[in-house]
Amino acid sequence: MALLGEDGRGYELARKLESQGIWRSWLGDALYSSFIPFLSSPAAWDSFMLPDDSKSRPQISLELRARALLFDKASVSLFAQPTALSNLNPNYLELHGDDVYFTLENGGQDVDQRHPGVAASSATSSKGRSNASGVGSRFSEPDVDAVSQRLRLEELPETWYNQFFEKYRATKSYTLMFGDRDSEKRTPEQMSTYLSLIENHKRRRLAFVDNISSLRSNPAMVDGSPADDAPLFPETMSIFNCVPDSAVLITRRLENNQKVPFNGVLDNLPQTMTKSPVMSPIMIERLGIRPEYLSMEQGQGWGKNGSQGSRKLLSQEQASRISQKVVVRLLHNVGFESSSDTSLEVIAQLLSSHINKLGRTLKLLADSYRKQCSATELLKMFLQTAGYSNLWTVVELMKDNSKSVAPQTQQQGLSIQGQNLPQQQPSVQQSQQMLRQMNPQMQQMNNPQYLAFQQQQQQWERMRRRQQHQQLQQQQQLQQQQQQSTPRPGMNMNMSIDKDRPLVQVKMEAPSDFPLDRNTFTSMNPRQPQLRQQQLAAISSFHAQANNNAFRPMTSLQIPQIHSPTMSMARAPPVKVEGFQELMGGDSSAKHDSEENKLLSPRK
Amino acid sequence: MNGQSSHQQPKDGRHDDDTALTEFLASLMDYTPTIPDELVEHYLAKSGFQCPDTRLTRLVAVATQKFIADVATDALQQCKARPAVIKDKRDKQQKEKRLILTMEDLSKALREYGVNVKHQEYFADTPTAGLDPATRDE
Repeated sequence: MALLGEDGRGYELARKLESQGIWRSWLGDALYSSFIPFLSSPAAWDSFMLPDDSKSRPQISLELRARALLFDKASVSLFAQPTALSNLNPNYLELHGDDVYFTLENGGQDVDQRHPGVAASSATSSKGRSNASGVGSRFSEPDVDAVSQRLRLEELPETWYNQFFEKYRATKSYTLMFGDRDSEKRTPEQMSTYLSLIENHKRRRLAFVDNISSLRSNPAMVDGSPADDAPLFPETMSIFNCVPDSAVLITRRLENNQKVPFNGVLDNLPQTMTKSPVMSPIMIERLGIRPEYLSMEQGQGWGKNGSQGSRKLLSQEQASRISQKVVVRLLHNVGFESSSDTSLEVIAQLLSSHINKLGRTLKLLADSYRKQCSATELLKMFLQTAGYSNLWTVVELMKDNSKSVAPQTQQQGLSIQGQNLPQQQPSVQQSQQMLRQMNPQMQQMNNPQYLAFQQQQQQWERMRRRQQHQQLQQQQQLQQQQQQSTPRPGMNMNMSIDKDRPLVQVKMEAPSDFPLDRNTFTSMNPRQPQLRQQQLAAISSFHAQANNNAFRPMTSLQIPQIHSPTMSMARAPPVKVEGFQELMGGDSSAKHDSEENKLLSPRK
Repeated sequence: MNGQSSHQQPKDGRHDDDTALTEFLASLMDYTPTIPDELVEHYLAKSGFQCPDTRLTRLVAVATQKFIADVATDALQQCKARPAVIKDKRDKQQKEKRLILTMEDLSKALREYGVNVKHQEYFADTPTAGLDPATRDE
């Protein structure tokens, strides 16, 4: 504390207090006479302030009391800019009764005359001084009582504050405080009066004043006379008209500071250079067009919580309603005609929980591995955790569903499909023809879709060729094993993105029912990798069907068209598959053995 | 396939993965998932994840869509696999039934995913209902 001087003893401050006669009032006349010699020289003051075991108890008590005032006055330098001692406002150094909060303690109404020291003791304890005398009955600890008794024995008088309070209680103004409560109301005029009163009070009690400002200020302030400096107790004087210091709450100010734009680790995913003619990389650079996937300014968008732009905030009910609608749409895509209420709710909750789970995973990964991993690695970890490390399945889903969005091209694809399917020629060349026929159709699609599509078609070509070899080898086997009844398989090739290992899947349903039939066993495949060989051996003799089925995701026979005549024509007679039970591995396999299991798509 | 992203060198398999991922992210912007972005963001924010990049939102949407589609597909299988009433009069269609998603099918499908929504088979009206008669008599 700068005001205590370099050695921390505070001799200068003590001298200043002495010059204003504060020590006399603080200590009382009796103690003052024994105290004043110590102020004669710095050496004496040092010996006074220095803790020494040889000192007697009264000496220590005196020292403590002197220290209390000294440090209290010096503590302002902890909070304010430390300036020189000369800048101290003399009024600040004066003793003021309203520095300590005491008025409302012990109820205010029933002033307890039997324990005059009670409130005072609590007041002094609020100042953190433990040398208060007259602690009395407020604290029931025996040691405190003992201390107080000892103090009384040594005749240390009550502190100045105690004396002040006793005097003040006796005054008329104190008793009047609690009298007229009913007539007091909160009015704007009284509040503004209170504010000006508080303002003046604070100005008078300023710790540090420059010479200039003191000249300019109110002469009453320079005076510092006790008459102008009556104690101000707003908690009793203006009970109803107290106004906080600042209209702006502190917490709000902190909130405003938090609008610092920050970038999460996943905010900077690798940006792709699209070949779209509209948004070329050059345009992005020159014109500063933001890529479309970065929705808005990061600082603004998230700082104001989406109040800008097109970002909508959803309530809980809205979200659940929307999720139910989404579920209806998804169920429709999958092939259901209707659903029960409970099932709908259950799936809607499942949807929300799943998104929650994915969000938690993302957050956990981003928080835990923010420093070690890049955004791409985090994304890969996330996909692995979620079970989508094989992106092909997700891509398929997108392609399937995107076809349903573009019904016009779909019709054309369907017509081609319809023409080819009834033929059911097991020629692979025909399938390739189909592929080529569809290519012109694909060109009519959106360019970006087509681009991704084209890549997949190339992959398909490779797959197809591989498939041809396998089929030709196994065709003879299956023709022997071919049986008459019941539905099944098609063959699907599932490709992982990183390796071109085909995972053969067996379709369990009539192909026309499932646009997502590829995905049907995607989840099963990882579970039963050992069955791949069996699956390979279980390829149907209806290669055309298989080929057609394989192409279906490309041409997207989607449910919205389920009622079209081509769909009903497209249905091929089902074929039983060897090793079906192992593939299904469960209850449902038993159901397919009966001849009732000629599953056909629902008639509309 | 690797020609689009110029900053990647597709020599490593890892880089292949990266480019594949990058392009997949790009393709996400061309595809509008069935689940709207606002809904996904609502639930993501609920779990504490925020990201201004719409691609991530769509990735989550697509992943969820796939998940729900898988569940629904499994339920559809269950529905179709259940033997239905055969109407003898109609010879062409041996089986006619409407594909209605019921809790029964759904619960069987969800069991594979570790979600137990099985209904109680019966509800007991007394504490001793369903107990062995010998113990009941005691």
